Amino acid sequence: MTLRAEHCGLSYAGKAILRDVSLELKPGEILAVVGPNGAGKSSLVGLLAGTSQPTLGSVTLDNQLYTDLSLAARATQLAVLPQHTSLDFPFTVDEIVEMGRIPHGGNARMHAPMRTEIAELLGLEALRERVYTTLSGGEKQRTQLARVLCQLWDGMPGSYFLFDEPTAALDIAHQLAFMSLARQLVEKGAGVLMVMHDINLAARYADRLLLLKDGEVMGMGAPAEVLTNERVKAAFGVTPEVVQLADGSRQWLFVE
Amino acid sequence: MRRPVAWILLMAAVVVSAIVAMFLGSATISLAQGWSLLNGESTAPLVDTIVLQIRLPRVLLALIVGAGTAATGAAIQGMFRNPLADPALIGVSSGAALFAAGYMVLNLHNSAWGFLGLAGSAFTGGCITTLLVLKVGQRSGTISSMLLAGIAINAIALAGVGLFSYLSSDLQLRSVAFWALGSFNGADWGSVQVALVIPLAVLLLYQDSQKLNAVTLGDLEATHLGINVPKLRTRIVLYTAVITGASVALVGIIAFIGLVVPHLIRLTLGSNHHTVIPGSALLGALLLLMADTLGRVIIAPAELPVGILTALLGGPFFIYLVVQQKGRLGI
Repeated sequence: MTLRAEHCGLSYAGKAILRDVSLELKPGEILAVVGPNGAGKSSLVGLLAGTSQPTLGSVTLDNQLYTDLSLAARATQLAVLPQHTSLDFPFTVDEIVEMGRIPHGGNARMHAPMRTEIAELLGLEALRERVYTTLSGGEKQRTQLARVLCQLWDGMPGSYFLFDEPTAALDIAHQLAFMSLARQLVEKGAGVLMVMHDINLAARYADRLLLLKDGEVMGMGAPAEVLTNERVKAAFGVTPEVVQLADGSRQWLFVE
Repeated sequence: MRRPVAWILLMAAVVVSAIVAMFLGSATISLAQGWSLLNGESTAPLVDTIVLQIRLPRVLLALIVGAGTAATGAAIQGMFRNPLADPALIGVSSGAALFAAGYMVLNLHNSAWGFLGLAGSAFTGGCITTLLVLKVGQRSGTISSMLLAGIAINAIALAGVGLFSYLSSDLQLRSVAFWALGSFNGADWGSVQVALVIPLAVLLLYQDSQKLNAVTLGDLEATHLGINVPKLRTRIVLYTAVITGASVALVGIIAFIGLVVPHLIRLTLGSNHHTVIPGSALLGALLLLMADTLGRVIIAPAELPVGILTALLGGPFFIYLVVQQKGRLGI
């Protein structure tokens, strides 16, 4: 059981966005994708989500090509949070979360306990009847997260979540809450890939990191191995100072 | 407002205004005459004719066209992901009218195809304009440019209608002008029969309610929820063209019902298309019937085309909505 990209290339209007990217996402792990703006992180998510086709190479979900898998079947195994969702219709938070159940059919009453559970985990209890268009940016993002979680909540083993910048609009407390929630998903048997900008947060919670730069993989593996001084400098153009905790269990990057 | 109460009120209002509309008009019909008619007793023959052959089909046609126009407005707004989209605003209605006018001026309606050909060409015009607006929207990517393209297409189609009226004979001119204004003047049982495709298309729209909900989040989001968005889009365009094409062929362009009604329903009953589509159908039926009845009464024995009235009433109301809802309409 794996979500796998093999030697994937993606070009758009003659310009290479991704070059020879290979990765495996297995159930039970968090893979964080980091890299500078324009590195191709969101394009990679689109490729893995099946919304764009690789110009070279292949993407398979449990050894099946997306072209052999119906959209409906894919949606019961793969949930995706795009970087930005704009919605101009006054739906309530609860109605949006319920939309996550569309691939499974059934009615709203059936999924009520699930929605309550997820709303509590994301701190949305008080907002459930609020109108989405009146929410703050962070509240909107948590609503969309809740919808994506709802999609696969009862079928975690062997399913995959792709989050594109899930913590971008969240305050520190909600960022940490989300990261430990991602850890819970993984413990229930899901595979989680997330695009992150905060490399320390990524390093702290992810099992593996993928560093992307100009559409190419600069490094993939355990966070401490990937985030070396040289690589961070080459990727982001800033010189970090790597600080190790005394017991060597964790490292932190300071950038000035 | 509590939902069940709102539904009951809406349905009651539709029934009451339908009954009232049967009694109002240039020929007054007394309650006693109406009562005996309801009981199947014969009254003055003229009363029978007025109520059964003129007013009843007209009332039914107004209800059906109003329901269809508002329901398709709701669906188009969902699919375009913009609360300001509307078949009349983005040129679907005028595209249908253009083809209908062309059909009339080329004298094709006297051919063997007759009215079906007229409805068919209105349908074709509606299909082409909807697809055109969608294509432009996909190319440019932003919703506001798609709306602007729709407005331009609307203007082009209306110019075409104008050209056809310029080319037409005096006799044709009246009928061409009729497309641009919208009127229930020609309603009879034959037109009610043709109009029955409209409720059918509304039912089909309703079947896609949940998918329309997902599409309001975005095409990508809907795809991730397992929905084949291009197929859904094709279906909605088809149903819209059927509803708009039939409406335009029967009664001409009716402005603002499709734009304002879904908006009112969303404000009171929420955005879920399971609610918005049937709710819009009921309120659209109610408002169009009331507008037509008003048009028959205010300058009796002459009458005001209903399209003029809906634009006169809907326009200012819409401006009020835009001002009052500033920042919430998403454009």
